[in-house]
Amino acid sequence: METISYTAGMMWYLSWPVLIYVTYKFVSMNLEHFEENINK
Amino acid sequence: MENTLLVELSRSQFALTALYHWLFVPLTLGLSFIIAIMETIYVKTGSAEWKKITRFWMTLFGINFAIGVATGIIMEFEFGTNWSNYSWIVGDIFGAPLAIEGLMAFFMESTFFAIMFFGWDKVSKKVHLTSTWLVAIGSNLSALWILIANGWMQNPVGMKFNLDTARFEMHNFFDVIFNPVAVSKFLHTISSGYVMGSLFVIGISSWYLLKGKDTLFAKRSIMVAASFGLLTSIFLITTGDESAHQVALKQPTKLAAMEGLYDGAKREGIVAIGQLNSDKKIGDKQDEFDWSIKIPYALSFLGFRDINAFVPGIDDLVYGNKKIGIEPASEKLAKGKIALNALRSYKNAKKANDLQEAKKSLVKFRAYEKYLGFGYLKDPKQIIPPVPLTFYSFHIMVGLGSWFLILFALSLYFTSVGKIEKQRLLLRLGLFSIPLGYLAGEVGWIVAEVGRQPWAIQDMLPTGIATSQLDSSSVAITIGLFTVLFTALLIAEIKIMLTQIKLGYKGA
Repeated sequence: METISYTAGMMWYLSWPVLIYVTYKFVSMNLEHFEENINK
Repeated sequence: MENTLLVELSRSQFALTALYHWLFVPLTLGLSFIIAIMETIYVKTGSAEWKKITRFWMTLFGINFAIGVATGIIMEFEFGTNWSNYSWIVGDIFGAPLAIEGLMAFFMESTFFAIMFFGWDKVSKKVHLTSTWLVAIGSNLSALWILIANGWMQNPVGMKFNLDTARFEMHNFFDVIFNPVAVSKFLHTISSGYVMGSLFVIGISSWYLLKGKDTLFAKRSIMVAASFGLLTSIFLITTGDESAHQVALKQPTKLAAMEGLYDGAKREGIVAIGQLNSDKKIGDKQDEFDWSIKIPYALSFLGFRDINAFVPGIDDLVYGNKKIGIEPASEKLAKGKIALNALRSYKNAKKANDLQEAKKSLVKFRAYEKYLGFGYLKDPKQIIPPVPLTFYSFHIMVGLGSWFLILFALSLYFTSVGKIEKQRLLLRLGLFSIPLGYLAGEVGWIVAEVGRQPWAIQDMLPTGIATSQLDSSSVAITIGLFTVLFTALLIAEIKIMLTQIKLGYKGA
């Protein structure tokens, strides 16, 4: 029977909320830059 | 006795339903988070413009969501109607994540969907925003439990076969949840949804820009979608790599079919592009490809994280390779038959109340248990999935995934520097990439599901044994009915969406 690594699984699963948070921050940063350019 | 026509029809019906269902799910997964991000910007800035943008995309999300749910329910029913043997044998394990999906994720997304869709101006901004995020999280949690179930079919762990009931029973729930195949499948699948959501927003916004309509709305939408798509497509590639690594470890026949690899070798390269030799048969000496371009060492490295690793080919897996220690499939079939006979002897001994014989049979069964599924196969070559379909599907998926990354990067760059409107070719490509996104998702599932044939449960239960005992004609009729119904629903959905898109974001 295969031994399942719970730690590795948990780390991978945790990458999901991290991805969402990082993409949100990335979107906000790019939009800020975009809106600044429009206002100029 | 296996009824080949019935099996093929049952598979076709499930494939039709699953492929149709997958026209709706990725957009739900991706667009839900894009909407949540847009609404967060609205709540933070208080800008009425962002509220309109959010509401526009939310309307399209709502149309898509409703039909996606309906088709998913059909699939769940098919486990009972068309795959009752499967449901009987593995229902104790497979049913648990599906039940959790219904109780936890589906209720969550459905409840908050109502607030999100109808609650504008009825609840506070913060409650509404929370509901939108919970719909996104709920939709993705729904995918989690379904993909845990699917991952278990690809790599059955955390279970034991009960000889008395002739069923697989769950032994360790956490093994099922943290199954590495399920984990990588979940992350790869949801990120493909994020890419699809981004492509959808970019494609429709590109149409607005090409028409010169609602241009600021379109550019803002592209900015959000391209940023979201760029990072999530990098994540998609990362999780795709992990998924392929798991395939190399757990499903070598699928990997060999994905790469059209017949003669395994050390330091094996990956086929970047190529055309399979259609005359090639298992065990003959013909070339695998009419032509191909390979990236040296890449398959060994990506599959096994070692450039010197041996990657088994189809011939190695069918005829065995003593040097590498690969058992011939014929031996596996023989051992599978021993396991099946031991199971029969155990049952007979139990009936006759011969406990000593039952114990002997049990010991024998446990020794050969891992070959159980092979006992149902008649020909060693049956262990190989359809190679051309798996190979081309895999390469189309990879090629399109690479294109999407480039599209997101270019869209983000040109929107950032304020020149996106002038990039007419890029805008057209953006629009054309919407169907390509759907195609990539569908072929991805073809790789996953066709590539694991002949198994319903990897190495344990062949697809041919998993069906219900139905009249083939009944299944043929329902396929016809589903095709008509699905086509009608799809036309209706596209029409409603197009009407909404033509109305523009001010009409949302």
